[in-house]
Amino acid sequence: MTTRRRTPQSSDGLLSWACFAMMLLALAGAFVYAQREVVMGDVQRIFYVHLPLAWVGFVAFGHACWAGVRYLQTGRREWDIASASAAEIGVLFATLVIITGSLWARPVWGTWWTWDPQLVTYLILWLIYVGYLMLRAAAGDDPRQARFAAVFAIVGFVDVPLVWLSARYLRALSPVIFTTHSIGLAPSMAWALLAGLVAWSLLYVVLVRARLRLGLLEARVQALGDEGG
Amino acid sequence: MTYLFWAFAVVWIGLFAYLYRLVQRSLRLERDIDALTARPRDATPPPASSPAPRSGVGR
Repeated sequence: MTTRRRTPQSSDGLLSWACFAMMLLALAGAFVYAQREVVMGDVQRIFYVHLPLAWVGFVAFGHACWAGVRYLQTGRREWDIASASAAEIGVLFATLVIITGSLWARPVWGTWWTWDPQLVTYLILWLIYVGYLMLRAAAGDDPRQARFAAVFAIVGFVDVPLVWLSARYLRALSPVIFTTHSIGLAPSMAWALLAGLVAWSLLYVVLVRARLRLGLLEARVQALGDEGG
Repeated sequence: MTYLFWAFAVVWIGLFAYLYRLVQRSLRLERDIDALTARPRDATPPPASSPAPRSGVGR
């Protein structure tokens, strides 16, 4: 009997296909399956991409923070690259969250932006990790600066619970969907949202694996180049 | 509907722009690897039939 070993490439292919299938399901859920919201109409469907992006953005920043902690503990370059990879994708998703949020707010609130506590804390979070990426890019190979950047990634994550709490305990305009008692959505909407959450979480895994591999390879090539003079 | 269209369009454009950037970085890396692997070949000493000129030491 022969046993087939799963290579990283084959698991990447499997993940990519699973992500593609889930993304199609999520799109069908958002545009076909989920019922039309009575007050907001079709524009509410932005929510099926906005909320999963926000969720995955938080996961990415948590990942960046955790990898930063591991880098400070071990001093291994791999963790530093993992932290930068996660933060980069987190910033991409957070940027899309801000844009889609604005596109939703314009017809619903009548404004592109308002200085609501949740929006402000989210903007601060975005700025912190943009700052982290700039710091990380400037650090290059310098381990001292990389350590400083790791501390920045860890401290930045403190803002994530503030974003979450501001929607609940401060007078925020953003609707609170998940409470300890229920999900404030019709079943078809909840299923569409769940499909979106799974699809975007899978996409995050695919992207972070690809970005991490690229980062590690870049570091190796740079080390070889330095060795060769 | 316009806002809905643009929200989804921006998300997918942003995502594909990021993927394009990753592919570009990957291609640049491939070029760097090619340059690095070509370097030792260029640096090999000439064959024994045509000895390199000796330095002036010991003349």
